[in-house]
Amino acid sequence: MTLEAALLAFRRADFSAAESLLAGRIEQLRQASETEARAEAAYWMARVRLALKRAGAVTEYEQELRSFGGLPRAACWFVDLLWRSGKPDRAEQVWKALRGSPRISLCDEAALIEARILLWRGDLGRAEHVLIEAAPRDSVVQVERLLFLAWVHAARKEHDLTASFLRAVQPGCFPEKALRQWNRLLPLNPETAKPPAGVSPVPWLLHQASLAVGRDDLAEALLWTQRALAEDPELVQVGERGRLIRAALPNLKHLARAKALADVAQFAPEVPALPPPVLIGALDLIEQEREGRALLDAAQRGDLVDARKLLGNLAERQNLPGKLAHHLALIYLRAAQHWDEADKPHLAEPYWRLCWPCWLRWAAVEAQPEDRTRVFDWLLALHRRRLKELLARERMEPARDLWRIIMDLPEQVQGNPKLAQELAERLSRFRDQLATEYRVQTREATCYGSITDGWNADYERGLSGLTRLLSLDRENLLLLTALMEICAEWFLDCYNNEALEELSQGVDRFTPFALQLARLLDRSEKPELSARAALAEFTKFRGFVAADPARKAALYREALRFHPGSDNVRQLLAEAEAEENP
Amino acid sequence: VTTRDPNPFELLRLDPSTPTDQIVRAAALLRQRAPDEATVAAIRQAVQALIASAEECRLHELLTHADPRYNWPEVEQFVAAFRRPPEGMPSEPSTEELQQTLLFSP
Repeated sequence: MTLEAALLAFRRADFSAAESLLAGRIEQLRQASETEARAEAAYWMARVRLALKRAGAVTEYEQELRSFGGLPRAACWFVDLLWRSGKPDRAEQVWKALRGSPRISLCDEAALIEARILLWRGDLGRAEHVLIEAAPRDSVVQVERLLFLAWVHAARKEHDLTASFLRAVQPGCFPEKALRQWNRLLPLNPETAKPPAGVSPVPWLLHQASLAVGRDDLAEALLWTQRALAEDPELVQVGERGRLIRAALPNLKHLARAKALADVAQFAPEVPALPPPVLIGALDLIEQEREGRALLDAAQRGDLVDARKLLGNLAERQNLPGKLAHHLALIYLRAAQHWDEADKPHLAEPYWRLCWPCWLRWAAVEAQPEDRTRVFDWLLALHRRRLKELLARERMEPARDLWRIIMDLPEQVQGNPKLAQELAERLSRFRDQLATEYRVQTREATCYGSITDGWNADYERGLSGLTRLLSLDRENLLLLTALMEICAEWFLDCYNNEALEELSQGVDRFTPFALQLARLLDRSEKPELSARAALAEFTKFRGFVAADPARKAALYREALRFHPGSDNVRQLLAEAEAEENP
Repeated sequence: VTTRDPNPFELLRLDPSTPTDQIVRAAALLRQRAPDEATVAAIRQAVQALIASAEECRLHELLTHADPRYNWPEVEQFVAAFRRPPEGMPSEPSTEELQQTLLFSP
């Protein structure tokens, strides 16, 4: 008597036979003291009894559980049974206590339990990830993995993918009756499905159309309705209700087209879908454009790749109507924001690149100046926040990509000098605001970092933070000034702590930034007093670490050039000159 | 404004050019039909976002698709007319009911 025989009976849905085979097997294993095999048989016994709707099936397993000596799979099976007995809250509670254990996570069942709980909570994305990563050895668990993947795609209305996972289940591996239930995840095919025997076809087809509208399958609703009309052009079979169909048909066509556009605008399953009614205004404008009609036709054929390409072409068109540009900007903004919030900047970047030209087109031909200000300020604030997040985590590549997108904006409106000028001024303010916010952030990091005893701040943390933004914005006076100020505080601390080697190394490391600031100050028409004072202080330390008295004196003179009022530098210069000419 | 916070106009099923007094009226109607507390809270939050400051409202307006159409009376009448299964048809669970059943299948 083997477990396989009982499982065969289970797959045939012959639960009574399976129960009796399992009872014998459990007894056999109990006498042979084979705990693991007995736990597995007990689990199947509980499942069989659940299928037979026997009361106490799970309680009996729970009582046996203590005799399984802490077997991890036995604990997983308990959670699985709680779940199957319709107690998801208790299953989740027990699972929370177990899931952290490495022995539990190695069990085949762990991923399935995790996925089921995620599906129950509506988290399709994470559930799908868990299922894709899982590689169970157990054949029944393998089948259930495929079925839950089909479930995920059915919930997303991805019927082709649902069908492919359902087809991947080998016949005979799972109870046939249960598989028939799972196959009902696939909706009826509106082009081929037939009504049950004895049911009039046209009312049945129109009932299916009504159900399809209810689940937002507007394209399907249209197909069902058109089939009903083909079957009975005068709609005799539905009597008075026929006039409702004729009135609804143009609206259904309109909504089906809007749904096709919503599918195009949902660039990945994870991106939140737009409800078709939201896109009616966009749809009507897209229909007026030749490429627009082509993209909608492609979408209705199910060719989303082509449709998205055509949408991208439309977005890049120089003479795009302003109102349509606004709709396209919002479509791409939604995707870009989604990927930024999901912390996938490489996926957000292409959408920002398509989104901005649409905003610029809208700004050029449609927007009131105050609305332009509102939207640009909001978008740039979004980018500032994102850049700070990326820089804080040293993710330089995506930060640089985003920086380039922003800084290249004026180039995109070269044909409109007024807008280009306005954008250039706005970006100058953007750089200043980012530098100011970043400066405050790095200053805080310096104060609350890991500070060595006897020192006043964690200078390294502040300086490395500033150099990150400086690697994007090399000519930012505010940032360079902040860098010089922190350096000066650090060098003073080095001096007080007699860390002269560290001081000398610090001076060498940051001198290129000081020279960059000096070049900018020489070019600047403004007094830039604080920048000059900070640079003078840095230059003073350069003089301090210089070995050659002539070089020392030259650097002090340079410091005085930037800040003539510094008595301290004047005194140091006098001492250096005395040393130079004894 | 993030994609996690639903767009208040979309949530309230309103055209972005709707005047403030009509926003409040439409939200009150929607609240009466809200199925649960979470929906009521979301509606309240959306109204707050639109009436708290004119500036914020205008920004939301600019970040909303213009000219949506939420009411389709002809389609609603059609759906209502054919919602009941035709005579002789065995009753079928909805997709959601079926998914719940499968999720807990023994």
